[in-house]
Amino acid sequence: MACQKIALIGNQNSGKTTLFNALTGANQYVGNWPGVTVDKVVGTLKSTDTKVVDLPGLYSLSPYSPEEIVSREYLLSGDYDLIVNVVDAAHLERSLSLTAELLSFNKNIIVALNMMDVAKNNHIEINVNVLEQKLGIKVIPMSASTGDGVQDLVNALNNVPQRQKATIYPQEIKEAVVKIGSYLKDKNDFEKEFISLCLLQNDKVYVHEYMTDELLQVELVKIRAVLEKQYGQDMESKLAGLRYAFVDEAVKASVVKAAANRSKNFSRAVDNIVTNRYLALPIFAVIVYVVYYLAVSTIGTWGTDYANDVIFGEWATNGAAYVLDSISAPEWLSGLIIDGVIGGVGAVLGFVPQMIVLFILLSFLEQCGYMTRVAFVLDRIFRHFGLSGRCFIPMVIASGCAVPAMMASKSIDNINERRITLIATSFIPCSAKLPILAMIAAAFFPDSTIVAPGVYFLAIISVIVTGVILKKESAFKEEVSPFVMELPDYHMPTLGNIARSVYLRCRAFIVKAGTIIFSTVVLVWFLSSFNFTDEGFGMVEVGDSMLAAIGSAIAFIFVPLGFSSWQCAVAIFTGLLAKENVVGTLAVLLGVGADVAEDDATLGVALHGEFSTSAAALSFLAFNLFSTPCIAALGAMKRQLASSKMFSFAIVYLTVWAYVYAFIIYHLGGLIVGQVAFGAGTVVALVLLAAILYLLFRPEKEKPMMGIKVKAV
Amino acid sequence: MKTLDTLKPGENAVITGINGQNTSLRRRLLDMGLTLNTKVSLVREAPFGDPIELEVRGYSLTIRKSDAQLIEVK
Repeated sequence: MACQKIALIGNQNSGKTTLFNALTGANQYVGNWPGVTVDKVVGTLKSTDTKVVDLPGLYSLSPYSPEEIVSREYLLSGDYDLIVNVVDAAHLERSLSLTAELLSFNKNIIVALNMMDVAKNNHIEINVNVLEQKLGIKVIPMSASTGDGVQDLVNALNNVPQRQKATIYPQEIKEAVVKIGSYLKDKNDFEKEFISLCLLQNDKVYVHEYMTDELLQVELVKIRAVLEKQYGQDMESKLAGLRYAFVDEAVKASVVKAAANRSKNFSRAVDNIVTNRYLALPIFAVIVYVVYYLAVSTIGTWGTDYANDVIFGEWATNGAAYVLDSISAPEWLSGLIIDGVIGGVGAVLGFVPQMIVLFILLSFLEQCGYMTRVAFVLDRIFRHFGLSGRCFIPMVIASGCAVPAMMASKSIDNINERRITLIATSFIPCSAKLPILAMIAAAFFPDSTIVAPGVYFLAIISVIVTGVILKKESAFKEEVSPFVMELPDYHMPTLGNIARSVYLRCRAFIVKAGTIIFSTVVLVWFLSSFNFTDEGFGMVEVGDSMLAAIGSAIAFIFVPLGFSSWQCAVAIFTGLLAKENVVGTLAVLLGVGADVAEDDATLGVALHGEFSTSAAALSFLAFNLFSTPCIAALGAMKRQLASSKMFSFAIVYLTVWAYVYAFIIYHLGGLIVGQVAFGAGTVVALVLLAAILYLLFRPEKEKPMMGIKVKAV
Repeated sequence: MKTLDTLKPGENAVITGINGQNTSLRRRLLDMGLTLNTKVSLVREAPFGDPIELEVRGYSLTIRKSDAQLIEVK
């Protein structure tokens, strides 16, 4: 029978992804499992029509984390012809536990015994025939990273031998399983054993599903009572013990191991340095600095600047201008092509060089195994803010540019942490926000040295407070795997894996984030260049455009913040496109001219005319710095949040936060320095401050112990 | 009852019980190989004292001390 669809399943560090890549090449598609934020990766086997579904890396099929639930449901759906279980030959004792669970599905399974090269390096010899006997299924030794044995696997897909039933459970449990199975009238044969075992273990998903079947419930209680008395432990613990006893036996029979385990000893030695009490943080700081230096300060920025200034700024623009000139194109068409389309495309693609460098470095750190050590070292501090060690890297990158920082957060496994990181990272001042800071500082605080550090300090406070506040919200308490993490042996990532990882992430950015960015750039260009005039609808200067009209209409919103001119409103709007725009737009609209330096004297004078007090200027600065990031970062954020509801929440949260911050700075800060009088505004500011402190310090609601998850899966 | 979080680096022990019935944490610990009568040893503590790295069944596992408290050893 031809094999049309394969389910690929295995531990996280078993080389499953390498195998998937080797089997499918570039024919991969990343979607989403419905109802959960788990990537659904499907590929097509090279030169065939066979689909390969790459299930998330997991250690067991428990009913707790989204990845496990989604995989379970998929396996139970029976919508595949063969299960290929990827097993790490160098760590059989741990890997085969999942295999033992998979064996209870009465479906075709074969084992891809991967990483044989690593096993060989560690003098681990495996007798494949004996292993096949013990498991009762075909075992194909291979090394996905070198390619050895992959063809054997492909050949085996259509030649799956008859399964022999492996003996994992003793007679009394087998009988119990059959008895329970007889109650499961609505289930297919291939799933009955797995579900019966689940019910025996008090699995919360099935206990809930069969809650109303009283006969079954009574039977379960009886059976469990008998067995638990016999074994002296609960069924969950007993079944896990039995699985591991089975695994231990299979391993003992089939593995010949030399005493020394090279890669483990090497990893231990490296960890002695890298997680050392005194060296861990400095080493981490150095590595982060190197990543930042290469991706943001040097190579990445050179590439991005080259793309923005030369490729898009010169070649594309000049080329387009030439062509448009030669056909005497109307002004609006030139504007659309040059400022709109090229500007829009440039806004997206300009980031790619920076991203490529960043992703190469991050993929390397991840795949070699170092990132798990980072999580290990930093967990203690970060867990109090709803974050973990892995969240630190995106935040550091954000000080250069938020766009790659948002994309980098993909590596954070815990969905709640990832979301909090994405939102909180917006507060870190990126390099594009610095000109705004420089502008306000030069005009209003020329002699002060604490404005810049003060701003960073406020940013860090925002991050911490946001983390603490959000982690108490139920929306950020999606069930995740507990912090029980394997520290895999260090190993050299393959060039192919890194290249593929970089390619997929860049492609994801360009396609998903790119569409938002591009359309917004064109839209804002349109709004800022057009309006109804005496001659009809046509192109105008920015000051007379629809955007300016919109700015005037909404400028009143900012009155409580101390600045209320339409020029400020429009500047904030163009800041949405790119934070660098704020300085330029304000300069143009205040009549100073487009290309001024931030500390230009005439600009300073104009600003003093604009903001009556330095408190107002600071409030304007705060609003720009802490409100939603530029559209490019928003696009990247949306892509990573993978939920429109979350994205809307993020936008509202960031905007409200910035508004409240600016409000408090203006009224309380202004009061303190005597620029703003005590009034209604001050009272409101104090109330807001109290509200923030309340959200910060309120006790977390206790999670119910037997809580059945309400979210649809 | 001696629990896993009280081990010192380099110390070995055998698991005699896993508490925390009906939680995802317990299931996870069992699934990762921390079953009854399994040998486990503490490799190191993180720089700030928490989490801890264990060696079990030939590989390295990290868990938080508060979670390790659920595991009884001797």
